[in-house]
Amino acid sequence: LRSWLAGELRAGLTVGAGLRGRILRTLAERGLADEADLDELARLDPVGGEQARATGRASRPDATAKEQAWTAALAADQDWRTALAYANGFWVPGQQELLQDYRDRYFRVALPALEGREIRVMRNLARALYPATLAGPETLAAAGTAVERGDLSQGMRLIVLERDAIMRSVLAARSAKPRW
Amino acid sequence: VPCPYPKYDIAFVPGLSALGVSIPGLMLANESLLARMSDPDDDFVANLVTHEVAHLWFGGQVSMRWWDDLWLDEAMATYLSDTADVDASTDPWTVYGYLEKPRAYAADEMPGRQPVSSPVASAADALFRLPPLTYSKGAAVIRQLGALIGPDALHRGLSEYLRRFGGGGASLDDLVACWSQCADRDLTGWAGPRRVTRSSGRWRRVSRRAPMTTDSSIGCVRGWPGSCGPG
Repeated sequence: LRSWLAGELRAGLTVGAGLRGRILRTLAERGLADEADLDELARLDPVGGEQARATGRASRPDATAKEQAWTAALAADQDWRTALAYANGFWVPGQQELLQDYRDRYFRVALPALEGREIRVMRNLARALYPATLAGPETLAAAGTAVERGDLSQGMRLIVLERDAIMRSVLAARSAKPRW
Repeated sequence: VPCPYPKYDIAFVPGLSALGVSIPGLMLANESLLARMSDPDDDFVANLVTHEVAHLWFGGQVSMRWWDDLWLDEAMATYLSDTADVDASTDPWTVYGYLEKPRAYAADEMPGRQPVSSPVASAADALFRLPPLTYSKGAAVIRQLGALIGPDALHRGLSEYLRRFGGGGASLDDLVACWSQCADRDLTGWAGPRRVTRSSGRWRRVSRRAPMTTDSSIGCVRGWPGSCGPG
């Protein structure tokens, strides 16, 4: 991937802003992209570069980076595009151990904090921050408790139920016996 | 029916949470679309702009009386933009078939699924409906009507509706009455009875999921008409 970024692609193929962001996100998820790499995204792409940098920062397997990303995604005065970019990078497969505590923080703190935001913003952030990579009985139980406890709006409950349904189908697929 | 407004501007807005919003005389477009417009092979923005233009008539010239019919404005704009983009490099209905319709099927599997048309108590309730159902499944319903009565009767009904209700508010029942007149058949049954129970299975005002099971031994889906042969 580094060689691609350096321009060593097959003839006729170029790394545009979108692909550059995806490559650096993949590297960042593995701790292989530093702050200077991510700053380069913002410098090269005036349209989506700031968001690509935020997603890359949130993807890093690092407790401090996760804490900062979580705070940035939920800050009420944050530009919603930047907030969503941080949220989109947060849950990365393979980082479950690092992210265990955020399941409880999602259901107890993040959901009430997102109530009252503009509907599209609230829906997108509530979906993106759902602990999707912690697929298992503890997350199903936490979701069940959240929808029962009575402090969430009907719209927010629907988002939780929707993510819960997706997680149940993920678990069903994982536990299915292969037929061939 | 000519464009009801003397001018129409497009303003690209940073941080708009929607992709596009149309109000009489002005379209607000998400700033991120500027980058996407630079690709000559990408028809997405053209389709989106056509959708917003359609709202000058459906949503602008005739507005819903209540939020129940929000889906109707969006379904009509989606149907008309996919029908109108004849110069697109890919047929919009093909794109609809492989991108949008699957999202509607997926949304129909979610706990938040709702009928295309059903009563809502507030604007928030209407806006919280899953967009794939409001836009894509709604457009599928309109397209199905086009197959039933023919595109000519469909379009004559729309013109009649705009003439009759232009400058005011109207409802789905008003539109169905115009379609019935132009198709010369009673379409109230198509749209569903005024009050329906959960068991009647109409697309309107009821939500119903048919039980389906897969049978991999013969490669079919039971419960899907025609898939497994008779019975």
